[in-house]
Amino acid sequence: MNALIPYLVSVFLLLLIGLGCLMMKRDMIRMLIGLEILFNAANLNFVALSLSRAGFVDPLGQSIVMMAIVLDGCVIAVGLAMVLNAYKHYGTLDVRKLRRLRW
Amino acid sequence: MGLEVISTYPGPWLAWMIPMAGALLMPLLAKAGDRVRDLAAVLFAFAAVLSTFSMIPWLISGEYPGDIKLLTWIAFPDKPPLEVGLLVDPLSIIIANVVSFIAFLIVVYSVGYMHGDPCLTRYWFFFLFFIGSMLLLVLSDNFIMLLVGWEGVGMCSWGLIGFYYRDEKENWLGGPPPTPMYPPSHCGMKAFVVTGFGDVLLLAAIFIIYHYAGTFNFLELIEAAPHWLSAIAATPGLLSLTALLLLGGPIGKSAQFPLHEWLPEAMAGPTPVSALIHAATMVKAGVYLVARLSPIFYIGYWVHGIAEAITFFTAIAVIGAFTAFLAASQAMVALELKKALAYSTISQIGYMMLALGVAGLGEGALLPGLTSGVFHLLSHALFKAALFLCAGCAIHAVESIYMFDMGGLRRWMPITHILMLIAALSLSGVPPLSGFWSKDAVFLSCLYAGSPLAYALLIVAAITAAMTFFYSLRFISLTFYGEPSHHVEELEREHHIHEAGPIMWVPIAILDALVIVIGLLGLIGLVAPSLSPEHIIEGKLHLMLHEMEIPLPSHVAAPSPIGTISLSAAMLLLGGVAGYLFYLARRIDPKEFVESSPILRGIYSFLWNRWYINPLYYAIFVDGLLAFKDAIFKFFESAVVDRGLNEGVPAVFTGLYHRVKRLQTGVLSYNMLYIALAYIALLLTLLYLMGGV
Amino acid sequence: MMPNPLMQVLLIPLLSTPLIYLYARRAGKYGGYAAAIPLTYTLLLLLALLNEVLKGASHLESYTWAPGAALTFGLLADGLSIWMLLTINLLSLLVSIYSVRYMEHRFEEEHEGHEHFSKSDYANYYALYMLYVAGMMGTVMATNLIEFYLFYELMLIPSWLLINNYGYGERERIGMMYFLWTHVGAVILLVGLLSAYWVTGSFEISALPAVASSPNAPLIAVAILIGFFTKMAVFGLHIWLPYAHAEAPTPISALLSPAMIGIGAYAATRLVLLPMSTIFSHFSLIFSLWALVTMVYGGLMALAQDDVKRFLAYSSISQMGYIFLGMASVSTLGVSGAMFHYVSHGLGKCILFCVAGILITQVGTRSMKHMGGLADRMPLTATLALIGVFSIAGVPPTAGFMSKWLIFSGVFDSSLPSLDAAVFAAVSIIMTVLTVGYTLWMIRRVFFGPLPEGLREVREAPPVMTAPLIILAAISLILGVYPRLITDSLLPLIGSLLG
Repeated sequence: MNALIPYLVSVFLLLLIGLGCLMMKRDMIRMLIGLEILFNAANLNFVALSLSRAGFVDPLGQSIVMMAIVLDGCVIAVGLAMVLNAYKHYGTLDVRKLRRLRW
Repeated sequence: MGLEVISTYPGPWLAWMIPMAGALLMPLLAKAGDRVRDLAAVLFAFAAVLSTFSMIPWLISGEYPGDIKLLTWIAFPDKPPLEVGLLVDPLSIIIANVVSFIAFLIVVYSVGYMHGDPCLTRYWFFFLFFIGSMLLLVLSDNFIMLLVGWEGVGMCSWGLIGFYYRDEKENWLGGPPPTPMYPPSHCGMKAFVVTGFGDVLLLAAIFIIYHYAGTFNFLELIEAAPHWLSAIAATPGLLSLTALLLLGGPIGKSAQFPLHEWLPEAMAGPTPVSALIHAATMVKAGVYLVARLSPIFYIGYWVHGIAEAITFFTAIAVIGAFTAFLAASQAMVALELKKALAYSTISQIGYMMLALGVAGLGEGALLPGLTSGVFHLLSHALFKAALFLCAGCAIHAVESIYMFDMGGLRRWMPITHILMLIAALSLSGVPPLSGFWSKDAVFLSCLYAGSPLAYALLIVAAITAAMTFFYSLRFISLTFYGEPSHHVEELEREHHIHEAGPIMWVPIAILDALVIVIGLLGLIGLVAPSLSPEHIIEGKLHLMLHEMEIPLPSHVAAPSPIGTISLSAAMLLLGGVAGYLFYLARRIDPKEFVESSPILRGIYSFLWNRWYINPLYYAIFVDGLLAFKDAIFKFFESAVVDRGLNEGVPAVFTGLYHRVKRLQTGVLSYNMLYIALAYIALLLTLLYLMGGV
Repeated sequence: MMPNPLMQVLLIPLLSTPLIYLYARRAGKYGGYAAAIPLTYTLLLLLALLNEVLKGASHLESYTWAPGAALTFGLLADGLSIWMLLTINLLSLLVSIYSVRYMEHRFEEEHEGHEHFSKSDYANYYALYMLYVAGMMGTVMATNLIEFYLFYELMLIPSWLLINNYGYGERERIGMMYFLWTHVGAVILLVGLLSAYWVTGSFEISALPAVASSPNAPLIAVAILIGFFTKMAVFGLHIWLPYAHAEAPTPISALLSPAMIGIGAYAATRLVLLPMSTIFSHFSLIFSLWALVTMVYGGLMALAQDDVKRFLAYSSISQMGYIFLGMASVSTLGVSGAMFHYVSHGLGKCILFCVAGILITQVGTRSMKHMGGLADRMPLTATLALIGVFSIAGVPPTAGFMSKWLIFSGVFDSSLPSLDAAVFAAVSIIMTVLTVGYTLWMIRRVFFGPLPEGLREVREAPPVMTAPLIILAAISLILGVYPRLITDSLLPLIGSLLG
């Protein structure tokens, strides 16, 4: 378990970076990159924890990561499509301009 | 028990059932035509007379049925049931006969007086229902049935006072301006509310008694009196409270101070109504109830020594005497004829209450007190009804309620004049008419009581007697003697003022004849005591009290009648001289007399404004109440409760909503911030729950 | 003897609702007569049951409902609930006949100018009416807390819809006000009911006496009572009633005011007063004071009203004060008087609200300032109003006299031998003069005095509106003269339940 600490710390840092990026950036593409960072953090978490038992690599963790990578790719693809449409509609990549879903 | 009771003793039951049935049938009979309807009303009233007359043999023989029960009205799970029953004993037989006989005469009078009125069906309905309720009141054997009759007569009184509910100007009374004038519908309401106040006090007392005695029945209450009286007296002050509450009903119904202000306004009703309800019968209901209950408190105080029981007698004696004085003083300055008679009624009932009150102030005074109270009730009913009916004839002829619009009517209405004069002399207590004997009996019973209080009240009663003669002479002379007023002369020019028809003066003549007969019997009774009406009544009541097992002292020192007779004579002289000087001979002008000194003017205005009691009541209970409720409605109900709850609470929530909704900015970054914060909160909670950090 | 009479009493109105709806879509206003048919049938069933109950038996039906949750659907008609059922049924029957003419007037007023308006309004009205009646009957018959709550809310929804769609003034807002007030009270009630379940382990009302042993019993009792006090509109929780009852369509006011708010009193008696009487008696003093304040306050506010329906609404608040006072005395006579007063007030107030409706249809105004002298034009209505007023003020020979003296006899019974309490009881009985005052004042303002010019053409109401009132007045008089019909079954039951 001690060996995993660096990995778990990096996961946590990546989470922070990703969330912070989503909170603070106003460019939609940059937010997608932040989202991607969050995905990578999650994947790294699974990989790290699959090594939690000494001398044994849990195949479940590794397989989940394989599937997740595929799904992440699809999500980003869809996200890019949405960003493209939003840009066509609003003429800007600034996410703060999209605020019609408000009170 | 059971319905065969009605066939065994038909008189008492039919006496009140027939008039009530007649009342309910009136709308149907009216369809058969006016004359049929009027004849039917007279027949129903006559049937009541026959029923009550059928009870007189019991009175004479001394074998009366007592308590006769019909059926169970309400069955209580753990107490004896409340039954429908009648108490037929000398007291109720005497008063029932007075009621039904006078009611019959007045019904006949009404046929003439109210002839042509379009709403006569409604009149007969209330009138007959009144007769039935009054007889029920007098004959019932328990408090609750008495209350049914009591409130029934109150309702009929309301309906009949407010008979002219359209409030046409000619039916208003009061004034002349600037004194306020009141419409009939207002007067009816006033009567119902004021007597209603007295009624609830009576109710309160009945419930207190019921709690301790477990029964509403009068005979059972008398029998068990020592037991429940001492149970009530165990709580200090409770028996006095009960006695005062109990008196509240009679004080209200019989228009005694402080609930006397409804009777003058009740004159808004048609005159036969005033004669029957407000002179002869309904206002006597209170006297009847006090008489019915006095044996109980007598036993309580004189036989079992319960100290608080005397409050009953002290209170009613003082109130009676004071009211007599109060009302007589107001009658001296009244300008409306019927108002003068109304004040006179209040005053005379004060005498009756005084008599019943002193009945308990001395150990030997119960029988004399009861006798004089009942005798004066009978005597007063006769002459006061006669007075009102005559007043009705005069008012009808002159088309005005004010005495200053009359004057010199002796010329055109000789019969009415004689009849009214006889009745007025009886009212004043001029020998040898019935009023003299009954008033003398009241004075005598004060002497029987013998206590200092009784003597003091006797003085008050005597002064009142002087005032009575004064105001009687006043209203007789203002109406019949002297110069006719402008109003009368005008009327005489337009259409001759004429005497009332026989259908109206024959009943009055019958009443006056009875007044004279009783007076003569009283005179004969000086030499042959068994014929004296007072002696007869005393004998019957003595029998009744004996049957109730009330221990009367065997030897009572009879005070000398010379004292009371000389007192009466002195008072008659006093009042007579004053009345003669002011009104008969017109030696002194009353107006100048009053204006001559500021003190007299002050007294005059004090009396004219009804000792300022009526204005005070209006200020507190009418104006004050109306202002109070408006103030509460405006400042509390609308401003605080309504706005606070119906508008305030929603406003709080909408205010909250308006603030919270601003969190939904629509900006993605803020949403992410909220997510981040939620994560942190979740993390911290988990860590706390897991017991770490 | 029909099988399962109580279930029929409940189901027949419910099942006839769609039939009445369809009929009223064709026949319009005559839907009222159609609605009267199932109600007449249930009335006859109840009268047959009354015969049984008067002999001392009580009628209980149980059906399985949700055995897994230990719930049985029970319907009870004993000396107490049979009178509530009869009153509700009778009032609903007569008011549905009354509605025929009244709702015709209402809809004509609403759709003024439109040649043909659809009859669906009538259909909705009568359908909702039947649901409302079924809800009220179910509440009174329930033996099970969940069943009770179900019907309690069930009677709320149709009445809310009726006010919302067919009321006067700001009807949507007032409908919402009425719904929210009652519902918030009902939620608090639910908390109490569920806590009672948690203590006793059973949802049956007959199991409630066991709550008294729990240390939280006063809190549970208060929670349950708050819900019912809101329904009864006691002082402090009363402000919704004048709005709701004044702006509801008048036949519905004639049911809301007499029948429904009294159910709050009945439920308080059935659920708290009788099972947990010792706990209830702890609060006796506060409740008595509260009841007196309600009585006086309602009366005073009634005097301040010009709108005849608001006047009657405040009068209902005052009358609920009477009933509350009877309940607060926790004595056999007092509680029986309170339940009897439900019947006599129900009869009287229904007459009066229907008279108000007659005034609206015949005179065209609700403002008493513009009325006067109407006894000339409408003598029958005036007489009926007078009987209604006497029934409320407690003047014999109406039923109100009987119920009033039973209540106050009970109040005195419980207050003696303490002198202070006796004085309080005397004060409370003196305050009833206020009722006499304000009712007679209203009669005077509306029916007596001179007739204004504009009202000379007013005509008497048609028989379809006055006949129901004559029946109600007759019943009030019969009960006033022969109260044993009610007291024989009511007094022993309350006496035995109070212990």
